[in-house]
Amino acid sequence: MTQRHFASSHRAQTSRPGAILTSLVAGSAVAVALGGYGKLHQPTGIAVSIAGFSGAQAAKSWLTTAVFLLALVQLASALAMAGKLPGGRAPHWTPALHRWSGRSAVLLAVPVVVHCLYALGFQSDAPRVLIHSLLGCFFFGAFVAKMLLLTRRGVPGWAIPMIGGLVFTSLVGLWLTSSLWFFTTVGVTF
Amino acid sequence: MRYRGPVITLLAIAALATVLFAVNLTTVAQTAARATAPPGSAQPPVPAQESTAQEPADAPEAGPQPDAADPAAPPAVAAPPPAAYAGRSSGNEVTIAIKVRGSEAAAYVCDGKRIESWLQGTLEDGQLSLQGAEGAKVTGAVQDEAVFGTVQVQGKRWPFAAETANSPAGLYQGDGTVNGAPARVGWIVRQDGSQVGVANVGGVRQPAPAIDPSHLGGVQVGGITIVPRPVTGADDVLRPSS
Repeated sequence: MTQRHFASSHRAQTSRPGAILTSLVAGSAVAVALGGYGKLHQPTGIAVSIAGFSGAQAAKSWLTTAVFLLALVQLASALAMAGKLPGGRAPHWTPALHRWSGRSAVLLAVPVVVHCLYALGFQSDAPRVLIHSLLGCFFFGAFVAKMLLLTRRGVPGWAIPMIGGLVFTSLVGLWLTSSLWFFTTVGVTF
Repeated sequence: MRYRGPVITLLAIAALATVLFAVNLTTVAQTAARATAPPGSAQPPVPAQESTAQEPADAPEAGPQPDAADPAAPPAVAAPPPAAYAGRSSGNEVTIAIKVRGSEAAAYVCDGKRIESWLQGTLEDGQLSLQGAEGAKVTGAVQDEAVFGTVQVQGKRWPFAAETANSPAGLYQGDGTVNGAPARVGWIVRQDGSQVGVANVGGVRQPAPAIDPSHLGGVQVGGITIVPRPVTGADDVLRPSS
């Protein structure tokens, strides 16, 4: 809360479009780089996975589900910090909850994306697969852009919620096109 | 300071991704490289060995070729004829099939339910050594008409014995795509005609439908038709063409 108010007062003083632009360019570069690697790298079909699951796709589906649940925490804590939730002021630990649930979420997503890129690559032979490939690249690009935006001064107040919303939305799309598809097609299995 | 946090987060994410990629490059790439090495490049032609010859060694051309899928293969010089072995682990936990061609070997291990693994490797001086994904391993010694060794798959280890399997007994594979997910099926047909197989659809394993090894036709897996084909020892079973 206090940190955010503090930051907002900085933003109110000067609003510099360049701060947004460089972050977005960096995020776009990451997204394109991931997509380019996924397309050019010859998928191996196999990669190191997590023990205890029947296969890599089951492991990834559950990891992504965990990330999805943490993203719901992200959404709720972000709304609370912005004062959009009923019940008045957000508890003082809300910013910490937001930061650490976000870090946990992305950390859990890293093994998933590494497996996706290394073993499967960027594919476009089915609508679900194409959407998933595009969203996967977009998600990490948007995440990088958001992290960089947080470090900049002079970022207008609407920028962080907007990029955060894009990160959240793309993650929901990723979950729908992978985990939910897996659970409904193959079954809710470990 | 507040402004350091996101950068540290980014660096931590990048570091974790780098480590995971490095692990993949070292473990997976090794397995794949071993599987794709051109035949005969790894070692000089193996002199005919009495212990590894599974069929009459003096008539490699006239001997029955169990691998009908590869009739155009040039005759191997001074190499034992292709051989197939099928058997079980000591407690009947898993069934194993091993195909050997020259110094190359391919194997499949499964329990007909949830355990399965494809492996690729070599036969040198009568010693089999094969590796598969996620730490799967088969080692064994070829003795006359049998292989005795150890199989390690999905974190478990068992001793096994496999005997010579003459066509149509042996190892079969099929693949396809079910709703965008890669589907792979392996079947082991033993000398007595019994068979066991596992279908892996998008990483989920289930019992495979039975095939008729003497009249290979398509079977239904996950709503699509998958046609089994014989596996040879030289096939790249870790990275199938599909």
